[in-house]
Amino acid sequence: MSAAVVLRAVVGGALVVVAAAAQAETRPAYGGAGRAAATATPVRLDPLSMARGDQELAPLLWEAPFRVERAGAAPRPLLVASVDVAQPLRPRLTLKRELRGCDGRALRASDVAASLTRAIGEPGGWALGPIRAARAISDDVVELELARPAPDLALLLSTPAAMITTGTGGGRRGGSGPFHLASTFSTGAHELRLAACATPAGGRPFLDGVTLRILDDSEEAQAFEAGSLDLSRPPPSALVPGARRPATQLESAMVRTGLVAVGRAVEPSVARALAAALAHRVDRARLRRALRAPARPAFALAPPALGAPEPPAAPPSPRADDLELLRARHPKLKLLVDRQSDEERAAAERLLVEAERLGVELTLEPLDAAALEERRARGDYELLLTTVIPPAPDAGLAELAALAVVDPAAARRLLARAPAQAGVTVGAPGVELLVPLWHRAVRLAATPQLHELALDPVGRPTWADAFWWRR
Amino acid sequence: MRSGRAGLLAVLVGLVTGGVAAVVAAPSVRAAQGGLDGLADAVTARALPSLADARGLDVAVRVEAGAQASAAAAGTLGELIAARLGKSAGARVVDVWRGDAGRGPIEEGARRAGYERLVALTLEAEGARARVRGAVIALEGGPWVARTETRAQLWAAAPLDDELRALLAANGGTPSGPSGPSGPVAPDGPGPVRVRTIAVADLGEVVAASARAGRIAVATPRELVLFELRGERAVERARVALDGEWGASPPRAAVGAVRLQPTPEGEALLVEVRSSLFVDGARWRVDAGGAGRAPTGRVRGFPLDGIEGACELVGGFDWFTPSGCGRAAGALPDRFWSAAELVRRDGTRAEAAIVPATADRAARLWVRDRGAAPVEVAGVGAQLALGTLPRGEVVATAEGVDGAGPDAITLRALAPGLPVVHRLERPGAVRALALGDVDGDGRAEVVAVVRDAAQRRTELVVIQ
Repeated sequence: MSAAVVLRAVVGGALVVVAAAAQAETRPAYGGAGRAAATATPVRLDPLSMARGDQELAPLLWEAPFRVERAGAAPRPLLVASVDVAQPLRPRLTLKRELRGCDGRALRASDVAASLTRAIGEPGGWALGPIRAARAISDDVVELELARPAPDLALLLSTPAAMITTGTGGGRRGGSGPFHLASTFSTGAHELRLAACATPAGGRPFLDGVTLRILDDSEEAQAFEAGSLDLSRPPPSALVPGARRPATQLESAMVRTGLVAVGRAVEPSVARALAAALAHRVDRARLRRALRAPARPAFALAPPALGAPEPPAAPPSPRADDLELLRARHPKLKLLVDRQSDEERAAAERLLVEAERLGVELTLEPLDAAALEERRARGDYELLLTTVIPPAPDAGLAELAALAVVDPAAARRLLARAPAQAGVTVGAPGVELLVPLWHRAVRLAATPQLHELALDPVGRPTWADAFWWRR
Repeated sequence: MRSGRAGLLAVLVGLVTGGVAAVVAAPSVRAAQGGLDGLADAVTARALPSLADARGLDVAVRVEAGAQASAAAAGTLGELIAARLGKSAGARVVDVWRGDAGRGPIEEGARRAGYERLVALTLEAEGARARVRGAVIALEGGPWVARTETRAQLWAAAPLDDELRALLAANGGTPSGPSGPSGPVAPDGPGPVRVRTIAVADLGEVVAASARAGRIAVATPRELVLFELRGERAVERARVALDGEWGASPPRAAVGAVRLQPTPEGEALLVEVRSSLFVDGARWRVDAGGAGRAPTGRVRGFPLDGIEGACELVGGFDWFTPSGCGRAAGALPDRFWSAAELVRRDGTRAEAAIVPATADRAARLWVRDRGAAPVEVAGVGAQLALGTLPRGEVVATAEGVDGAGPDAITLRALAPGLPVVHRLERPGAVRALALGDVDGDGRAEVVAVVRDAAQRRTELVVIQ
């Protein structure tokens, strides 16, 4: 930690650099709690859930065997003491000794094997692609069975699919992460209270707890301005002169991909034509203005911010015959959108205009997070607007995560064949139903006294590192 | 409160350039008018903010005669300051207090005498200047608590005019008057401080340092580096990667400790090091070429430099407890980031520790001398060194500087009120402090490892 913590604060519409009260080279203080708006609503509280709210929350509640601290960095072992690759297709992970879950129970190889086995059998575990099986061969050694030699094994074991859950009885999955759930969770809950775990593998969080409130955009802005939130999406007033509440701004790279997926409710014969028409016609530069955070038009699924090559030329125009068929078969279409996200709704409304130019009447169907995830999982939609969070800061995995929106099994198969890299989905079945729209950053406003709160490489707040400095 | 205190400290800064101490004082409170009145005005102005809560309380002013100052001059200055504080501080009583000399720490004496605040000062002369230094000390007492807290450091200087010259010479120019309990400052006073800054290869996130017999050991979470000073250069004699079994739940911010100490037969040095990343540490024998290639043993606990034995962290956190160091409850603060002990030849002891910051309170230096009530100073960093320099017993800490990046290395005399005897700002953060024979001359120095993260630059700062 630097001697004087320099904060970037949004004050009066401009980014300014302010020096906090000087502090000697010291250490973070323990104690206090944080209050934030959940940027998306959790649905299942499961690291294998593909709902955005669950993916945002997962690293607070569970740890994976490895962790990637920043884009481009090698995965760092977190739960693992060593990896034995003497048999490339049967690597063995030796766990650190004396690991404990958040409930204080010892975290053993059987927990790791059970978690990985569960992930192998669920759509949300697609990122374990080449891992066919996992079994505990002793208290602290897990043996994996791979479909191919896996130089990317540590990366795959850093994704939410590899997060370790314990005590699966009763439906609630025990934690291995820095926090545990201290409140009752149910769909439709208005807030989640997280409490610090005593001895997680990454070290006890400095804060005693974090409360996440489920709010819509307007409520969130008011709550932040009123001082009842310490972290939120930036309220518009933070960007105008004389802001009532100066804030530190957190901003990630443009690692999240917004896309429209064409679902099974559209006739297969015209689904590709619809996607191609949207890909060609949508004015992405205009669309991204609906977003408050920095964004760039997307013509490929993998974000350049993660090292993907710049996208090729704009998509080719659809054939006139296809368009005629589309108008004939689906003159009216529904677009599913997250009810909680004002930004995505604004972007969706812009898409209505774009669709009209194609001769298609588009209507919006805003859904809450649970319903949206259920419909996505079933493929029960005509069009779906969603944002993809990469499972790790890796262009190839980000691209596969986009494919997993419509076909997790296809993403798993591709990954089982070879390590992911940008362009991995080109020509893959299912990818033609995806229309990338934007690559966007995450931008959040934080109370300036909350230090070391940052965004991880895929834009999630690092609450476990945050601490208060109110002096 | 912190910025006010740090602002005051900024006024007190003795900036060192080229190894020579220079003194800077804020214009608004400078003792510009000279003479004892000027000194009294300056001290009063600096003391008043920290006596803002003294309304209705009893305040004692005690001025001791230090180097080249007479008891008469000290007494007169005490009267002048007491008169000024009596008018301005709103206290019930402001007395010049002379009692209890030689009966233990003066804070205890003042507390016993019923005072609730003590302005403890030392008047001394050096060259063509007279100066006063000391502290405002809050004395909280009662059946259940006896706590002492330094509220402000006081410092003022004035040119030696005729009046001062006459007053100071009244007693033959020899130190006299009530003397402190320990007499920690050498008879010739602190005098100019020699500072050497020695650039070394950037060490990254340094977590601890130790110095002994001409060697400096510096630890990062993953490495031990051993330096030997040769003139104005630091020669790297060894660099060892730390390894071992990973710790299951280390503190989120890495903690480390390193200690150089003689072998049991006293013929060589051992270096012990521990990083919180691993479940234990390692010990090497230091030979003429540096550290041996292989560790000679493993180290349990954290070998804090200045503490005998080793300390264990509290699980998941970055602090130690007295019991974790094999000490009785109360021997050290309930929680501390670092600690050191000093055992004198006469068997008396002093203990110092850094009490961790909380969300609402900065880290504090905690010092107890000869079993007296502990004294605390707020606003310090996590680093600490305690020991005896040729100039006296000192406790060294790091402190922030208002409104800018650099840290300051602060040396306080182990004396009532922990007066600042030297303060040095360096660009960067003070990552570690140690006290020992840095250059092999047989005398102790303070060494600070200062890192400028922005510039990726590390330097060793040696203060003699």
